[in-house]
Formats: sequence, C-alpha cells, structure tokens
Amino acid sequence: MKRVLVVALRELLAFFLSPMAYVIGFLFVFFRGWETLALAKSFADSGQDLNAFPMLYAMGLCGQMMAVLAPPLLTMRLFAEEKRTGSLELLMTAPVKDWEVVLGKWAASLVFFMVLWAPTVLLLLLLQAPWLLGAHLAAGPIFTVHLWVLLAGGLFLAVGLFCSSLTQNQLIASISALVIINLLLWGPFIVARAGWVPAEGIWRELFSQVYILDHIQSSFGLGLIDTAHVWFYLSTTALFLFLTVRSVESRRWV
Amino acid sequence: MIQVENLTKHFGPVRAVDGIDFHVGEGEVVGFLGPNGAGKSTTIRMLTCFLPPTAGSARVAGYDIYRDSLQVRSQVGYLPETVPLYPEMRVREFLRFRAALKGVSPRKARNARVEEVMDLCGVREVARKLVGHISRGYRQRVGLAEALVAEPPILILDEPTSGLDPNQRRKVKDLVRRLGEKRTVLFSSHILAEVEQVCSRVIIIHQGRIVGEGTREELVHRLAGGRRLLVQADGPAAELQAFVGGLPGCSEPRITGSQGDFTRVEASLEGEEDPRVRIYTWARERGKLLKELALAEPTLEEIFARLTLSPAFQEGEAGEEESP
Repeated sequence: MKRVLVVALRELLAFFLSPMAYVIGFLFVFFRGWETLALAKSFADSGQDLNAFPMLYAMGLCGQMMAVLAPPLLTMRLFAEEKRTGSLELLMTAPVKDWEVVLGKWAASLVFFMVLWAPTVLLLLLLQAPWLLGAHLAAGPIFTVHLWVLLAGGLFLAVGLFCSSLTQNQLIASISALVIINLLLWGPFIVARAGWVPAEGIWRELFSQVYILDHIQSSFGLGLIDTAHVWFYLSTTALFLFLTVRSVESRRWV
Repeated sequence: MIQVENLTKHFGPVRAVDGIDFHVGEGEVVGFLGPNGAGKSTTIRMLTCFLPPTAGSARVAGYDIYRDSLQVRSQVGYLPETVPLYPEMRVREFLRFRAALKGVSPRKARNARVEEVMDLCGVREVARKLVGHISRGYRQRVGLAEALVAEPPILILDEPTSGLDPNQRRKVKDLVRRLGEKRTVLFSSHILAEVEQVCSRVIIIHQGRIVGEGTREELVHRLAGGRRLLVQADGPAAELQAFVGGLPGCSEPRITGSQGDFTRVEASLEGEEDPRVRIYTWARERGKLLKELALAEPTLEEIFARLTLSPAFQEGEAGEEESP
C-alpha cells in the first residue's frame, strides 16, 4: 500500500509538470465561469425555480466536456508513454506489484482531476452572493452534483487508464477511451430514445442502473444519493481497474 | 547467485533465446558477450522478471524468476540498455522516488542513501538538473546509481557503456569493477576490451545459444590452436618454414612477410607448448639473426570472432557446452 502512494506521488508530480494539464485547467475554469454566470443570469432574469439550478449546472456543456474529455487526455500518457520510452521496464522490474502501479496511477489522475475542479468552488461561493441569483442556493444538490462528478470522473479515468495500458500510442489511447466513455454515457440514452427498454421487469431495473444521464436527473441532480447508483460507479471503476491490472500483467503471460 | 537452466524465449517463430544454461556465483563479475541481436537483452529481461520464459527456468538469489518474481526484483539492481528514466524529474528527485519504490526506508535513511549513491556514481553535480537535460554519460551513471540505491546483492547491467565517449566509458568501467568487489555482477556488452578488463569470467552468446564460457585463459585453452607463434629470422624462407613446421605442437606454418634477408613465419601452436627456447638455440647454432620471436595469445576479440562468425565451429562448441 505504501508503494501505491509512492507511485501516485510521482504521477501527481508529473501531472503538475506537464503543460497539457495547465491548458485543460485554464480552459475549463475560464469557460466554466463564463457558462455558470450565463446560467445564473438566465435564472435571475426569468425568476425560475432555483431547484433546477444544480442539475443544469452539472449538465452544462463545459461540465460535460470536462467529465468526458479530460479523463482520456489526463490518462492517455500514464501507461502508453512508459511503454513507448521503455521506462515501464524500469518500473516493472522494481519490487512493486502490478496492482500497486495501476492503483497509484489511477489515484494520481483522480486527485489531479479534482484539483482541476477545485477553482469552481470559488464560483459556487460567488453564486451565494445575493445580487447574482437573488436567492440562496441549496447546498445539498450542489454537493451531490459534485459527488457525481467525482464518481463519474473516477470511472472515466479508469477507462482512460485501461485504454492507455493497451497501446504505446497516446492518440490511440485517448481516442479509444473517448469512444468507450461516450458509449457508457450516450449508449443507454440512445437505447432509451429508440424505445428498446421494456416498461418493467429485471431488464428495466438493470437498465436504470447503467443509465448515467438519468442518474443526474433522478438522484444526484436533486440532492439525492442513491446507493445503487453509487455502487454502479464504484463497481464499474473497479472492473476497469481490474482489466488494467490484467492488461499490464499480460506481458508476463506465456 | 544466478542459476539458469534451459532458459528459452520464443517470439512467435523467432527463437531469441534457445535453451541456455549458465550460472554466476556469489561475488563474481561475469561478462555477457554477444553480437547485437544475440539474445543478451532478452535473457536479461527474463532474469529481471520483465519477460516470462517460454521454457526452462532460472533462479536469482535462490528465488524462481517466475514464481517469486517480487523477491527476485528486490534482490536485483537493473540497468536497462536504453536507460529509460523520467525526463521531467530532477536527478535527486528521481533517485529518491526509486529508493522509495524499492522500499528503502525510513525517509532519513533513504535520503542519505541517495546522496551516497550520487557520490559513488559521480552525479552529484547534476543532482538538481532535469533528467531530460543531462548528457548521455550522466544518464548512464544516474541509471547505475538507480540500480544501486537499494543496495542489491546482484547487479544486472545491460550494455552500461554503450554510447559513451572513451573517458566516460573508463569511469563506468572503474565503477563497475569497484562494485564487483562486493557484489555479483552480470555485465552485458558487445565491446570485448571492456569485458576483458572488468570481468573475471565470460559467457559468449550467439543466436540465442551459449557458444563459449569460461575465464579468458580457459577459453584460450579450450580453443585448440588458439595461440600463435611468430618468428622472424634471416636466411632462406623455406628453411625457416620447414623448421617451424617441424617443431612439436606447431602446425600450419605460413610465411607472412619478408624484409630484406628476413622472413616472417607464423604458425598455430597447440596445447601448452612453448618452443621459443628451441628456436633461439637453433638460430644461435646456425648463426642466424632473430628479429622477432613471440607467442601471441588470442585476444577475446579473436575468440569472439571465431565463435560467432564460423557456423561450423558453433555447432561443435554448442555441443560441448551441453555435456558438463
């Protein structure tokens, strides 16, 4: 477990040293601020019920982009670059277990992902100013929306890490991660729109568990925490991390 | 410390390593020689648990490379051929990271150890530089410092001097020699002079098989006809040639040059024969002038060329290797 921390700290350092991370961070904060203020203005002008605010805040284009685009870009380097430069050889010949490396890298990417979101806390504090929205924003939904960001971010980063472990090419890693993430996100939406979902029964139940966009509308965006939904993110994340460990380990398959 | 049995690695149809056996004893410095593509790096990658063997097995420090990979890795300091370090880290930072990864603790001891290996490998002056900005020679030595940082009893160095200038090469060689005083070292190279200077024993690998093994003297001894006799004297060339050809142990006398009255004859010499005194006596009795009289031991380079260039010879040697 100590080695997980060692790997994670190094990766975190590498994140802070890479220009890419700062570019993503700057663009995100800039557009997120702009988008949020526009949203707040529209609420203030129309006098709409503020209960819908957290959900729209979460579903905002910039937040979506951040949840969908940032993980592949952040994680594409993690294994692909080490494979390309050969430093994976040095890493994997140290007395460190495969899962320790995978978990360390994933944890580092998750921490950095949260660091990128951190400046938006200031935005939310700003929104509490009475002259902006004209009313107080409930803390609960704001918190659960961010919990969703954390859970979904963790999942998407695990997907990105898995894709990175499959190839030496960062471009292929990021694009394949993007495809899988979009399938996870929009696949159920398309299935629902096409009307292929049964009205009741086990399949209906199962479907609602994996319908990520619906999670925001039916629980996280409303200030609710549905443990079944939380469980979906945690288990799927664990699945992708497990696949990553197997993929890293595959070099030692005879 | 390293025990290799019938180790084999196939990459698809390519037999990169084809059933090799060797061992390296405690405290030995062994050179692992072979032309490029002979299977040196593949063997080393199997010994350091990066690649699994297709067949056969190896034990490093008593642990099986496949089943006890973690223990093996904690006993070995490894310098890969390309020295892949993280370019965005500073040298000291990188070494501290590797020390922590290898479980050197607590922090105080770890930091002290990092300073120690930086001094040992002569990289203190670049401690604060980014790994990506230092020269090839420094990179190599940072890699060596990395290999040493957890004080492993075994060092496996894959071409540690490749791409260095002669001065840097000498520094690395001196360092390896010093390290070899207390540790077991497996040192791969295709530069023979180096191996000759640093290693007590040599393993020569070619096309995935071991074609020669032993100390330099043993290799010379084993390769019958390895030594040559050189004589240069005045008088008729044919007479000198006939005389040299008639000496015990001498064969294939060849005239290799003439200078005025002098003729130079070279012959192969078998076993431990040393006919130099006889030649001198012969020349004195006949009033001949001797300009040159020497025994030439083959260099490792010649042995290497012989082992890795002639296919007929390889078959014979490889067959012999299997018997003991």
